[in-house]
Formats: sequence, C-alpha cells, structure tokens
Amino acid sequence: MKISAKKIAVTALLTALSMLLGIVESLLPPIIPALPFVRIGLGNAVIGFAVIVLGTPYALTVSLIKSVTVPLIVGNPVMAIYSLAGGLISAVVTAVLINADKLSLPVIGIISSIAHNLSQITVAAIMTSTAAVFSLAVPLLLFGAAAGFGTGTIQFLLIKTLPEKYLHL
Amino acid sequence: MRIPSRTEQNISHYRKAPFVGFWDFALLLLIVFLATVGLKYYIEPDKGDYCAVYVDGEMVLELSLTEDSVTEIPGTHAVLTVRDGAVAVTENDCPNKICMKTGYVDDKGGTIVCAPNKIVVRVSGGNSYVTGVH
Repeated sequence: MKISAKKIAVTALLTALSMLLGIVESLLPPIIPALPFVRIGLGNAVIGFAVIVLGTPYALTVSLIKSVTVPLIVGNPVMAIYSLAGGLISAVVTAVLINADKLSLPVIGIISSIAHNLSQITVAAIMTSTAAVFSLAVPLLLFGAAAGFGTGTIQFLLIKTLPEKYLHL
Repeated sequence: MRIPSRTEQNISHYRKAPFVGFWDFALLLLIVFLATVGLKYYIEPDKGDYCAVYVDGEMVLELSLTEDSVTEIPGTHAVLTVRDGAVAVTENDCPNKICMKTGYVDDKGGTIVCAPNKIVVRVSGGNSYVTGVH
C-alpha cells in the first residue's frame, strides 16, 4: 500500500475539520434530553468524503482520532466510549458501502447514521445494564436517519461539484 | 493499461452517480416499511371508555364501555355487547357478517362498520392523540 505524505497531510487537515465540527456541534443543546450524545453528525460528512478521496485506512484514522479527542476536548470523557463505538462502526459501514459502488451517498449516509445510533444505544444499554434504553430507540433512529441523509447529501454535493484536480491526491 | 486505484475508481464513480438510484429507492422503501411497522408496536393506542353508534350518519346511541351490557341498536336488528371494556357486534342480519368478524374493539378511534345496514360504531374517550392504524 502506497503511503503518500500528501495523503497524510490531508488526513490531518480532515481530522482537524472533523474535530472542529464535532466540538461546535456539542455546543448546541441536545435534541433529545435523555440521550445527550445524539447530535447531528456533521463530523461524519468528513468521513465519507475521506473514504472516497483518500481511501479506507485514512478515513478510519480520521474517525478514530475524532471520536477519541472530541469528547476529551469538550470535557465529557465518558462520551469517548460511546463516540468511539459509534464512530468506528459507522466509519467501517461507510467504507464498505462506498467501496461497494452500489448505493448513492445520501442513502449511505442514512445507513451509516442508523448504524452509528444503534451502536451508541447498544453501548448505553451495556453501560447501564438495562434494556430500557431501547424504548427511546425509535425516534432517535428516525432523527438520525434524517441527519444521515443530510450529511450524505453534503458529501454528494462536494464530490460532484469540486473540480477534478482537487479530488485527486 | 493501468488499473485505477480504489480511490480513483470511487471518485469517478461518485462523480457520475445520480442522487437516488434504483437500489437506493428500494432500500428507502424497505426502511420506511420497517419504520412504519416498528412505529405500530411503539405507539400503543389508548383504551376508550365509551362508544358512539351511528346509523345512516346519525348518532342513535351512546354506550359506556365501563359496564358490561347487551343492547340492541335502535332501528336495526343489530345487537352490541359490551364486555371487559370492549364492544362487539354479536348479532346482525347482514349477509357477510364482517362487522361481527371484527370482534371486540377497545382502542380509542377503533370502529366497527356494517356497510349494508349503514351502522358505524366508534370508540372514543376524551383526548385521543394516536390511534394505531387509521
């Protein structure tokens, strides 16, 4: 596997961008008070973009660093576990779906968001040792799917409209 | 001929890809279907405590569901039985007896209809907000 310095530099850039988006998102009030870790996953738009432009290993790196550092910076270390589980699983799902070349980006965003929220709920159930969390799952998944559609659309527009020379690294 | 790398393949594919393709549509339909089914189990209809009976559009009878009773609907040959907070049509002279096959209804907004005799039994009980499938 060719490791290019240019790609590493861009990975760092995208990681910083994703972290920034994650931090700004955490300043907004939570959509569902009972589950404060549910956010509009703007940082995840970067992940899909990274899979297409950089490649899977680089995108997974972005997701890993973002999931671990954002909760620490925001001041909520417990969130790191939820964020890590959700972020990694959704990044893997995104990478697999994008490389499969069968679906369009907005729909991939929906599926990744559902995967993200499901893994977060599962971790919450394990941490609290109760299955009661799943009762809140349904509206959470619906909002998450809508948010995923939004981030997928952002990726779609970026890939479509950016001039070719910026996409090839 | 050089084989394009994975990223080059992805870039050229997604630049040309439509916003919603065939498989996307199918998947979205599946998700919406699952969501609707899931919602049905998630939102439980409340139980009603009285029912109103309409014949030919006019209300002819109001029955409380809190007490068991057997009542004939005035102006028809239909009989309503109230038992355990639910109402059912137990006798009727219609040909298909679909109203009787409906069985006991106790959800707010639940209805029993007899088309030939133009009978509608509707269960309500105050503030109802979601009624399951309606």
